[in-house]
Amino acid sequence: MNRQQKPDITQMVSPFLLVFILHASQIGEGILSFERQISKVAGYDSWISVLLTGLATTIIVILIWRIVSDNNDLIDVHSEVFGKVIGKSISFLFGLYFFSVAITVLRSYIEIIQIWLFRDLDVTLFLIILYLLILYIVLGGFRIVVGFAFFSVFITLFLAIFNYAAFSNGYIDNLLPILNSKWINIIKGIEPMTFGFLGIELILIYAPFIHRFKTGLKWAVIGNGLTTIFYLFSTLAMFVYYNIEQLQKITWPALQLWKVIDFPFVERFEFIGISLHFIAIIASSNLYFWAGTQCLHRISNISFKKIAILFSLIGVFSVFYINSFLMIEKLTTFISKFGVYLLFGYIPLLFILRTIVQGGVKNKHG
Amino acid sequence: MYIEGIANPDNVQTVIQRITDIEYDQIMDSSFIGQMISDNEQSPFPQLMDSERPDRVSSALIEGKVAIVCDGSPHVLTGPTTLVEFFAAYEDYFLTWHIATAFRIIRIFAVMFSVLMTPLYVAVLTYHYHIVPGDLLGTLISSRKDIPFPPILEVLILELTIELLREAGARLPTKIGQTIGIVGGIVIGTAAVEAGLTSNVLLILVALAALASFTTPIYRIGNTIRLLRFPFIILAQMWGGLIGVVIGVMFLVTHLLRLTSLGRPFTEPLFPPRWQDLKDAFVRLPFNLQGKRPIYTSSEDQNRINLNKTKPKKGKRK
Amino acid sequence: MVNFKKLLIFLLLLLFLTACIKTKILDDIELIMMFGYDWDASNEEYIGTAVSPMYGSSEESDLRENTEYMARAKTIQNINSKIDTQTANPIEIGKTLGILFGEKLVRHGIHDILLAINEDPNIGRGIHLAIARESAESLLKSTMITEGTLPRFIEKLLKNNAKTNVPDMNLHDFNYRFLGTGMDPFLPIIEATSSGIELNGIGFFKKDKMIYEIGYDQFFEFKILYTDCEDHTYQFDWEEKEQTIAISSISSKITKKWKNRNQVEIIVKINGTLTESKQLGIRSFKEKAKLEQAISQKLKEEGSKLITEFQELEIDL
Repeated sequence: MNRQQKPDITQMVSPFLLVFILHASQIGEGILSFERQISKVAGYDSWISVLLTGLATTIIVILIWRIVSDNNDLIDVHSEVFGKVIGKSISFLFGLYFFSVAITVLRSYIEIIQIWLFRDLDVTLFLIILYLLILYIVLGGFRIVVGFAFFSVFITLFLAIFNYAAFSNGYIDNLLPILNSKWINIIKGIEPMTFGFLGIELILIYAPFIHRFKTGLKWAVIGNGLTTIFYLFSTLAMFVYYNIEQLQKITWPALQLWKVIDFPFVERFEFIGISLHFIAIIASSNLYFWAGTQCLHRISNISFKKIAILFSLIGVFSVFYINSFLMIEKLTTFISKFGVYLLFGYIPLLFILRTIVQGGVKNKHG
Repeated sequence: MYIEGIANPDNVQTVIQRITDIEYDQIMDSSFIGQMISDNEQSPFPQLMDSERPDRVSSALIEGKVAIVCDGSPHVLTGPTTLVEFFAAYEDYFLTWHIATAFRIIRIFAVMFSVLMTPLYVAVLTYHYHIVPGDLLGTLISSRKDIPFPPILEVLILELTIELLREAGARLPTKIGQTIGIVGGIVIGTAAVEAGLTSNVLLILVALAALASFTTPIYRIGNTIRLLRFPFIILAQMWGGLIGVVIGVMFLVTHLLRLTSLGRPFTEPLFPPRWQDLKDAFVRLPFNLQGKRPIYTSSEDQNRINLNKTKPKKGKRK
Repeated sequence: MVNFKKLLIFLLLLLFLTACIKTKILDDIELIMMFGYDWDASNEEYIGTAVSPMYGSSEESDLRENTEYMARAKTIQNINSKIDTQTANPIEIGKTLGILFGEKLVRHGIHDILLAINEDPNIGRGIHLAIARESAESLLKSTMITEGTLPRFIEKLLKNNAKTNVPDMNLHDFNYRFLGTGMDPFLPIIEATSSGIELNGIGFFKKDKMIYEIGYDQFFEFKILYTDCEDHTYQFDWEEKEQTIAISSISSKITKKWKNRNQVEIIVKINGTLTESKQLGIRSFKEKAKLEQAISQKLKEEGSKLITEFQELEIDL
């Protein structure tokens, strides 16, 4: 079997950093707009959906720790379970999925920049410089990607502080009475919410890059918990500040909220918020890009650099294909659907299959 | 030069290896070596600490670093080093820790201010009039009313003037140099505002930014900081104001993350995060909390306080 | 050397790849500080008035001068571009302090305008809205000596009164009440008088049309019923004793009790200081209790009158 040799020791990171990696890959464009989608389904009670999603994804994280053990990643598991050819082609699909997420995350954020800051932004040129940046980061290796993610987490935490404005100008009564909507709706709210938690599946790829991977489980769970708290805080803030009817009309509630934040030296905080949140977007896009490249690199033996350059070119040229708001919306919905099935369908399935296969192997030897 | 038993032999080996690999006919100063053996020659950041202070070098040796002394040069290189170390003045250790910590934070704030202030001015005035507070708007507009240049040119002209003054001051003998600085600063500044070439708001910002860039205790990184703001100013103009500045910051952060000093990460203790080493990074905690040597030197003897061991021997090598 | 070449290419790319974005240099744009919209019923058109300050070379001297631009069109965007034809620099609406609606317009309905305003990310959400008695145009064109520019004066007037006399109402709150179920928005009414500008009423909307208004006398009742207030003054006519007293620094707190599904009891607790009550001479607890009784009786009556009025007009608050 094509076993992966241990990655370069200088590229490995300590398990503690899983908190940051996980958080950075989960927080993307979604944090600015997810309230609209979940409140459509579950109303004021959809903060319960956030909690439930956090719980469900934690279970998936634990499953992932069962699937990949020391020093093997998704590609190994695939070829072990499905055999070489099918395993490789499934891994290939995964790689493509990671790339498309990386491209979509970036492109949909450029859409925000176009709407809020510069109507006449030249997207192609802008993408070229962004992919140069991404290449610069990704080619530095996993450690650099993680380092960037590490710093981006502080940015998102810093920005989250500014949601306090919602509580000082809002209507706390909005949240009452609790459990007004039906349980089935609350559970349905998990589906749109899961988009915000995507990023867990990346662990399958970067697992070998974590020192003492087995001990990392608690950090990953903490990271997932941090994301849950983060989303919960944001949801509560938006629900206190807006009412449901209003939320449906607003595409990016968080940005609208930042508009009312004024300081003596800065007004209209959303302009600073959008610029700073860009760091978080790049971090999350990076992680996906790195995972996609790593995935394809592992199955094809083409050098990491070549794949990365090829896909950044594809990323730049994708602008001709993804050229309207509707297209981006469609792509995002598709990816979020795919992500949900991947997380709650495929990963448990893989776990079961792997247990069966391993059991079979053991029996043969026994 | 290093202290056996404290310095990590790997570091020593790296330094010796790299120095032996140097092939050049003239080594005038230790900074030649510094440039030749640094991990990334293309980087504007110095990757080895450069000091002419014996106290700094001796404390670096005790921390487990390697020092490179060059014949005929007052400067001694020490390494491995980290980014934050460049912003730590040795006087910090002579003051009580609260005051030293406050000064360090002021210095780091000054660096950020120095790099980002003028680019932000360009960004805000060129693209983001929204974020200017209403009360400041009148002041800014009326101060810029009669100025023929766009903010980018205005900033570049003034920044270059400041650089000119600094350069002229540095080339002249000390006494005249100081005079040039003051006379040039006041006269040219006021004249430029009166003539309507620059706005007085900008003059204040540029002067403050220049002042802030001189707070760095190590001269070499001060140069880097001063020149760094030019790409930022250009990015702010070309890449859409704040977004451009943020892209610049991202490139800078990545660059710093990629840098290494003698193979050790340059941005430590921020990343990889080593909580242990934060004790002497942005803050300087009291001596009783400084019982360990910094992790990034991977010293053979981690404890600074240990009475059982025999005194380490000093070895001298070039 | 390969590395060096790469670096060079990279730097050149950085330099030459510009995003080609239109610049909005602060002193080369026409900053609109306040918009006023009116409705021209005969042509079914909006009349937009925009005020922008003229900045002189020094802040103090010329700041009071404003320029007004006016345009008529069927859509808001068109008004903006029509105004653009009258200005030296491109207009920018990002620093708008407030928007005034003419009386005719609010009777006609402001749904379309509101939609247009909310759509534009340039406009802040904390801006103040108000109704201009008669027309917004005449109010914005009035030349009176105010502190600061006229838009800034109006903004400060609204902001100041939002703390004391009327409940706070900015664009966000208006949207909140406009879109939420069981809520209807309201706006302060300002009027240009001979001596200046005064806030003399609150207009109540049903959906997007104004259908009812109250004057200054009812501000207090409305405010204490609507929200907790902190610093308010109330003038109380004690009919039994034929005396008028003032109560100042009033702070009130509301508690709502649902009696059953269709009935709610609003309990307002009021704390205040008696001033201008020398001639009354309250010396004992008994007299104080009597006064309190009288005041609460009066407020109750007026409050319920207000509420019945709203109920009849089907305005939700």
